[in-house]
Amino acid sequence: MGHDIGGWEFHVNTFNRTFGGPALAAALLSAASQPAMACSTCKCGDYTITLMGTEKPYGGRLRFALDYLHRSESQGSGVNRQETDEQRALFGVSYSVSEDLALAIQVPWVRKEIELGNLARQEARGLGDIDLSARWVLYRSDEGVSGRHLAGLRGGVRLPTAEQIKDSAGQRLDIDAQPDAGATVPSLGAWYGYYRFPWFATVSATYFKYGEGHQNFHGGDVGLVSALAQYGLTTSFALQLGVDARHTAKNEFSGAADPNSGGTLAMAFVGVANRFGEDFLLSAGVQLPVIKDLNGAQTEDANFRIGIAYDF
Amino acid sequence: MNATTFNTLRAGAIACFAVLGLNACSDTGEREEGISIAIKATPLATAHTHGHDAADAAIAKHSEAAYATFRRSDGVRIDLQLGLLNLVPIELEACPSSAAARLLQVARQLSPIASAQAHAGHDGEAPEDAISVTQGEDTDLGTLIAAPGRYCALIVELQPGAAAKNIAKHGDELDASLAGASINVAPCYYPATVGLSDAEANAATAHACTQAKYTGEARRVRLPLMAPITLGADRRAADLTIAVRFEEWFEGVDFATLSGSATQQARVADNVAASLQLVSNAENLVNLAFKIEVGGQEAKCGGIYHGLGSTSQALSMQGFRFYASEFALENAAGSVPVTLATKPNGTVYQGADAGVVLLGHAQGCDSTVPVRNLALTGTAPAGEYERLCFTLGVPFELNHSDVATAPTPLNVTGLGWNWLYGRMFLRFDSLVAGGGDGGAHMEMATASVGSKHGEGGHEPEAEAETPELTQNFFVHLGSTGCSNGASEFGAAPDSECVYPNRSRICLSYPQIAAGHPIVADIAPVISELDITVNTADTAPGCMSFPGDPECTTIIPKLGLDFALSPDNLIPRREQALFTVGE
Repeated sequence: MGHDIGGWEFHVNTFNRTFGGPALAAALLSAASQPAMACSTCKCGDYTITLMGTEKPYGGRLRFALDYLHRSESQGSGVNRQETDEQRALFGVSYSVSEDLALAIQVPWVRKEIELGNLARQEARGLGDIDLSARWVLYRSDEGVSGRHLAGLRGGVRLPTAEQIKDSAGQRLDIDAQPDAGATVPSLGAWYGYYRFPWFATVSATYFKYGEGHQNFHGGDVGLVSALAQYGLTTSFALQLGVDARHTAKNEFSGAADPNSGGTLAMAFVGVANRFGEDFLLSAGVQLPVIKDLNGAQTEDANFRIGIAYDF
Repeated sequence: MNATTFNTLRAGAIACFAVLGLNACSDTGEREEGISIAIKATPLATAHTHGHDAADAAIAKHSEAAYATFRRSDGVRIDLQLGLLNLVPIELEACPSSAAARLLQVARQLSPIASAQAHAGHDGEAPEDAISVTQGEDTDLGTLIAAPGRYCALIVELQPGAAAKNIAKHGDELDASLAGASINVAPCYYPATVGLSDAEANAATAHACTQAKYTGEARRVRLPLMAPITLGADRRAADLTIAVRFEEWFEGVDFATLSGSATQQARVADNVAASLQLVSNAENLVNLAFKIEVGGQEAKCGGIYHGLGSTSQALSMQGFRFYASEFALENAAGSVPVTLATKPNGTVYQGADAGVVLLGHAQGCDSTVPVRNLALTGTAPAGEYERLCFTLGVPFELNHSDVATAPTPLNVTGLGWNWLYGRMFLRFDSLVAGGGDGGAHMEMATASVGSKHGEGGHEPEAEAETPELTQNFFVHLGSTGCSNGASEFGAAPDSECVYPNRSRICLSYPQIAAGHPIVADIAPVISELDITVNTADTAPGCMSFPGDPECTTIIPKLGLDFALSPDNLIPRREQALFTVGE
């Protein structure tokens, strides 16, 4: 059972803080680092990075973002092996109340398909759990225009908005096939950013505390750390390298732990980002598993992501 | 309108479109069932017509309790009060890989989906309900799921089960628990019924009862499928039935020590494992009952029968057995083979290409261990069939094997002529009156029959005076005209014998499928012969040898041509040995 995990997230973006130009590029590039692909269902990594941006926030900024994630994983073995294929569209809006505080909402639309070794298949399309999040800047160094080193807290709550999808006969699909767990998941973390064009780096760590979801499913709590380095080849195009690591407790069903869940996973990220004009950002990347210490029988495949953002 | 206001409106419009777009994508779900195999067990008794089905038919009602009444191969009557099994399906076994299949297997290993084997839906847990053969009802054993593939067998386990409430039988309370045991049996047995006819055995009263459990470790049993089943996207469901032939459970078991002997209990477990027969929904279960008779009466070793032959003579039956092979079911579309299920008493051989069964008094009447084999089961492709056909005899490829090394039942020495001629396909042995006094006996026997049964009746142990029966009268059927080029009997023939003498028998299958027995009665075969008269210098009765005058009416009535001389071939007639009984 591969399921939602929350976790510590640590995200580093290298960024030369100037509005427009390199700064915007850095923001775009950092968006491409989307470590959520370590487990997008679990929203591992900084799933708000496209939406929040990695550039130094400025007051009054309104951003729309759309991320598309594609991932697959499997649990179990033999005929009990379950293959999960997930496509997730995240539509989000963020608003910077001030240069130190940004708020965001993300609405996921999910298509998820599971197939067992005996060809049994379930597919769901529907609304996932909506995320509310905020990011605070608590420390800003004196270097540069508005600081070369920034650090702060981030936190939020995932709301149990995911509906339970039913098949054509009105029978509820298994929790594994549901778009999201339908659980309340508070999260709290810290972040740090280093901004000096053409370099940008960010590190973040986040902890997700899972509540009980649909069908007596209780996702294991997650700690996630992410690091990303970005190098801008031009003021509008940059390359990115990163690593995301997560540790997850086992999921539980009606109090019984799933042996094929949880564990530790590290994934390397490679991506690019490009800015078109002043306001439109495009990023894409792939995440590859490099260290797997997962419980039971689990595999995590490469994940892909593409994201766009538009600032007003 | 300033830039900020414009941007805000623009953002609002986009947000509205996005929300509307998401709403347009209403929640939907789809489900497609995977491959699953439903498994059940059904008690299987000898085919019988007195019940709703074969299983019910064997269950006699004694007061309020149900008993399965049957006879063991040695003739011991058994009333089975309790027969519980805890049988758990474990997995489907994939067929052995061919080269192509091995490549497919590699592909499956690379694939995250496919798997070579299925696993128990119960994950090794015992089914909720144990199989109770005396209840005569099917037991649901649950469902297995399987990866796409081609499967050749089902693996099941006899596992220690859980407790159950006790059942009152025979006035006592039986322990009907399977706690720690995979088998729980409580037979009542009638030791004095060996050698008796069914009617006599049913009338017997002296019996003893015992109970035993098998508490050994879980026993894994492989149940092969007659025809592999291929499961995949095109075929996601299959039904498998495990027929439990419980009448075979006590073969070779010493009832007197069964309750306390682990050896005897293990033998029961062996027999139980061997009694399980797998049938898929693509197959028909073939359940055949046979009777051997002399003039309409059960052929009993030593039984005396009257009114036989053209002069209505008496005979003492000394043995009646025959090989049957090449069972097939036929309809307008053609013929399909029946794959035979082997039995613990060693009377069935099923090879890759041929199946042979030895029916009747398999070891002869003079055997210290009598074997009475009158039931046969098998499987055939599912369908509606009009005829059951079989060959009276042994296929050439098996007929001339070495009796000393041949598998059972081809190793029965009493049916081996020699290497050159092979086996006796049919062996009927009897004693009749000798010395040309048949006419006097004819009158006596006729009067006796008329008083008991009317027209066509025959009666063993007739109350009328019976002449001294000392002269052998045999009907032995086998291949003749066999040659190995060396005029030696100790070698197989070079090719098929001139007179193979294998008769193909076909009978109405709907009746047989309904439980009617296949009756082998020697009386119609010998009805045109004075059985007390034998031509000098020829075999007693008819032993198939060309030129024997006593065979001229017998062999053709087995559906075979008979060569009285090289120039005088007596044509075959409609076989008279086998009919479908009531």
